[in-house]
Amino acid sequence: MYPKALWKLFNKQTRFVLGAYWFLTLLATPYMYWLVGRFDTDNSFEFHHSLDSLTGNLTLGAVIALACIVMGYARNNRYNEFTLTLPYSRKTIFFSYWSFGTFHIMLATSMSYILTYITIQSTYLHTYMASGYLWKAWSGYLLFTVAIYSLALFVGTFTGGFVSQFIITLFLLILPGVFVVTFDELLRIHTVRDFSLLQYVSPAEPYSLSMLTNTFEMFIEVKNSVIVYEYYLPNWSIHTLLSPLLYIILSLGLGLFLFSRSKSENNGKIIIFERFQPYFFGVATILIMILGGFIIPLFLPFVQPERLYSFYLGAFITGILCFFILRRIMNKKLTWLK
Amino acid sequence: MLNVRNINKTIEDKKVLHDISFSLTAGTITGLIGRNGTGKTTILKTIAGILDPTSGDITFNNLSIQKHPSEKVNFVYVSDSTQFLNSYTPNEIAKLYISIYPTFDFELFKSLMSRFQLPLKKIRSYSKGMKAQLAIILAFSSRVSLVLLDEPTNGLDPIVKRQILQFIVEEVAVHNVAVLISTHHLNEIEQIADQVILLRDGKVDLVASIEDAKERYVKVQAVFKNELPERLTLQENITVLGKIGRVYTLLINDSISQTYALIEAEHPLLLEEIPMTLEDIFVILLGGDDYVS
Repeated sequence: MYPKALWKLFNKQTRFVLGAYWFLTLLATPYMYWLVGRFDTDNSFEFHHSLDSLTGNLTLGAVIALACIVMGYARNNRYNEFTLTLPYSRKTIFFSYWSFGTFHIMLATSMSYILTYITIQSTYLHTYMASGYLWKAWSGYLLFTVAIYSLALFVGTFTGGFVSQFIITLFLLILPGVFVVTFDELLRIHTVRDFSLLQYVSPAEPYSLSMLTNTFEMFIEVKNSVIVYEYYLPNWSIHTLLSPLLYIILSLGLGLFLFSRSKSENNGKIIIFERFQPYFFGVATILIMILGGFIIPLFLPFVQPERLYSFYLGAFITGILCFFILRRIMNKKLTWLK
Repeated sequence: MLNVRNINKTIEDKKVLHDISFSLTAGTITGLIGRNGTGKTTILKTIAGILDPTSGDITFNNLSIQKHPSEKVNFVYVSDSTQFLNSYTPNEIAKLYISIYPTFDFELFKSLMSRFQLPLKKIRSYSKGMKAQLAIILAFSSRVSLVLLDEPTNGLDPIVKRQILQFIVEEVAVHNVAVLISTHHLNEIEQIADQVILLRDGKVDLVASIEDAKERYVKVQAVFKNELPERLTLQENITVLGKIGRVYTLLINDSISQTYALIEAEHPLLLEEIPMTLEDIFVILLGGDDYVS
């Protein structure tokens, strides 16, 4: 059975964030190109476009919010209880979450690039822009955005509400970077040597979803109708595109598995699977402790932040606070209903 | 039609449902009664597919609902929370139901909206009682075989409550719908239900028709010269429901005629049988009437 009813339901549920996403997507690229392209530049201009902008990041935020509204917020306000009573299997429901969001991402992104293409063709930009870049940017951006949406949905299968789904998704997106930087700092503070681990892992960066925010970029500098400087990022390879594909396949597979076993009785909690809770509690406490070890000493007047004992003092204070606060929060059910 | 077989449910290491079994047949109204926190809503949510049973099975027309969720097209669950309706207008929500339930009768929906005088404006502006009415109208307009109602009359004024109960009885009689109502408004259930399922601490304590349940018990008023004779107070099947002056209200459970004879042997000044209510049975089985409204 084609779940038309589910799409109708999700459409109603997400109409505001969906509207925001469409608006931002159409604003992020075509409008920016149009703004630049409409000026008479005497054949000398600089054109820079990057997705690492406020609009670009907000668009990405809207994609994650879309997944969090359709799953996490629905758990908070018991909207999902209505969905689960409908004559569809949980696999169909989860797949509909995915197909609904993916459909909008594909449509909005495609429309955005068609408009951009028309803008480029109708202005002086078409003389200077490298042919094929737009197609590469469209296909890459589309894949990465769907991968991020899929990841956010997967997170929604084990989290109990909007806030935890959103935060954990963001955390997973930046996890590789945060992990390397934190581990690097930990080593440095213990050995007084700079290992600069980032340089060893930077080749892996293209395989991380976080690349989306900082590498879709182009720059053209033209003087007297001659291109004097230009660059286009990213430089695609088939491996680069395999990364989001893998994220999509894994997120869908694991998401379908977990959503079929969803524990609706724990809706509103940070983690809905009771057996995952101790692991989450342990990992979150350790990570927050390490972070606290670096941050807390900066605010303590009687310690020197760069010293090892300061790190452990900060970690200890954060650990104690985290232990009690997190333990309390983890047993709470956050719901928004009358 | 619906068979619930040996359902168990554990939430946060606490067993909330113990081996629940019962059946529902077409054209009957079943009341699911019990004190607060005994698992009434958990049972309804498990049947509706919101919660998974830890063990046991629920079948509809001999098909497991968990394995064949498409069978849920034959029933509608009306939750005690109607918040999801807020963003719709009545016509929008009816159209959504049409796309879910192929049997949805839009003409019936319109006539019921008019019968219960519900306006066609945004549901957000409805009162709690109006939302409850709308949810019930949507359920019955879906023309399904089974309707699950969780505390359906909460928030309804007495007149609307009577209209809704009357409407449910009509639907069951005319369209052979099965209705399972979770409630602790015993007087309402007594008026309309064919059978009751009484829950105690997550276990089924009694499944019986209202008549059978009442036949198992007799309520009498008795006046004695002095206090209630000690011989009677020692009888395990006699419960003192109340005492006003020297007038005792007693509930006799099982061995009715022998116990009646026993009371007569104490030469009461007055002994008369008075009508039993479901609430009396509820009180004796679950102990205390502080949760009964």
